[in-house]
Amino acid sequence: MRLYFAANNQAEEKFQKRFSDIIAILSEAGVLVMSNLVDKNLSGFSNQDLEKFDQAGEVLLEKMDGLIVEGSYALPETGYLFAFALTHKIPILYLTERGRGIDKNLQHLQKDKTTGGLIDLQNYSDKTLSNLVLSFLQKIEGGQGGELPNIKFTLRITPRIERYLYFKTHNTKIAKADFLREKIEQMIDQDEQYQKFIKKD
Amino acid sequence: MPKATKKIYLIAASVIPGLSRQDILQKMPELNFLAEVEPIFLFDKFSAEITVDDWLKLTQEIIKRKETARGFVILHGLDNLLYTAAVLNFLLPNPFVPIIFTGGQARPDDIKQLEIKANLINAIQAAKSELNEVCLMFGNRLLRASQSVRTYDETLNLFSAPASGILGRIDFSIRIFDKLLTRGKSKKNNPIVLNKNIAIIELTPFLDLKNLAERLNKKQAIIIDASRNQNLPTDLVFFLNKLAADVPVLVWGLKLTPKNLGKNVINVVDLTWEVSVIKFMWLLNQTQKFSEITELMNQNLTGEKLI
Repeated sequence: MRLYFAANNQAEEKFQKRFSDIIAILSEAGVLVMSNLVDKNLSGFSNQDLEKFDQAGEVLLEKMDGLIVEGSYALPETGYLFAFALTHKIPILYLTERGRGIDKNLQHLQKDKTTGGLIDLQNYSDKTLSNLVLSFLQKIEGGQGGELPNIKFTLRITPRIERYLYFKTHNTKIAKADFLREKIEQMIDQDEQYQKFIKKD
Repeated sequence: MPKATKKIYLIAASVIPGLSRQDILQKMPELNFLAEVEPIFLFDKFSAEITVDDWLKLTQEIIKRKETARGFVILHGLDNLLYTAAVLNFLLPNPFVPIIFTGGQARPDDIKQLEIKANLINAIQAAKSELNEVCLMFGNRLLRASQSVRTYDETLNLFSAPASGILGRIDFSIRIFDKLLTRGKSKKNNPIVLNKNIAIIELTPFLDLKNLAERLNKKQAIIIDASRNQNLPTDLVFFLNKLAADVPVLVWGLKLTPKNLGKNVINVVDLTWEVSVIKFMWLLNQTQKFSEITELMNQNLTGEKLI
């Protein structure tokens, strides 16, 4: 999973520490984090892929599975990030420190029927921060917003596997790719170790 | 009294296939979170139908909003887009704010019009910048309109430009290359006129010089599209020197070998076709002197030269 995390890098030190904490929580949960706070982003994409996106006219932001904005200190790019993410149906978590108000325009967007389902506006404290971030990851995995299997993956298979897939899907309405996706979903649900990993505090 | 917030004017200069008025007004609430956006539906026709008079009206509509604009986003179909952008480039040679053209293709597999909507969001964001140029925003690039050409590859970057014409790129935000910002100093307003009395001729082996002489009757200038040629036919050179000696002639071809073709001929090898045509139409109304027209055609007035 890839997430973009944006925050104001001019914010006071207390916040800079929190920004680092958010990146650490995400990284520990196995998420590839890209951010305006780091000089060089590790996207997990190969240089060849990045070149392909550039030539195709695609924007890296649209390749993200989610967007997190820490908005305690106003970030001028918030409007742009929200608009772009909402257009691409990318779920957004907007965090502000407890006690700080949330922008009325954001509240309005959250109430809008076309955009509301994708926006999660949350006040946090040091105690609740980790839980809020991890819940957001579960929300993405649960399919709210990112329900489409839109990540391309090339898988080379043996003739034996090919024969088996043909056997399982021949004369049915199930595509081979759907059959495999369903099997992987079942594996995820049944993998206790993984479930423990994604739910840890 | 508090100062009123400046707006981004979103001018629909043509119908955009795949993006209706309702899409803009009702289905994109996020646009107003991006900036204070005021839509203006100027022409209710496809861009293939756009005329010189429409260009002048568009220019006037922009000037009218000069005081209250933070920037302009022009929604335009792909047909004639480069001509319209070139018109604004010369009629507004020192734009006070960014003027960003955008649009997109109605692709059958893009049912949610993601391409056009993403271009529109990027264009609005670019219109909030400090640029004062006429630009294009398509795919992941912000281009100087006057150096751009249409591409037909399988890409969302529907236009391309040489390195000097790439003003910004988009990855997670719009990165505008500061070194490329041009800021005009002149505040002089240009007259909003273009000379329409021009004959445009495509150079092919079928060009009949006898018919051409009749076609040129009463025309004030000639533009010859010699884009497929490296050299001009001898008969045409003779014709230009003799029959059309009193009318300015612009010969355009990026591959043409620059030659002295006659005292009334301007050989253009370093401007795009659309920019050459519009700049010539504009200059013909600035001055009658051929030497001045030639000098100005050769000058890099707004960063339009392909370098």
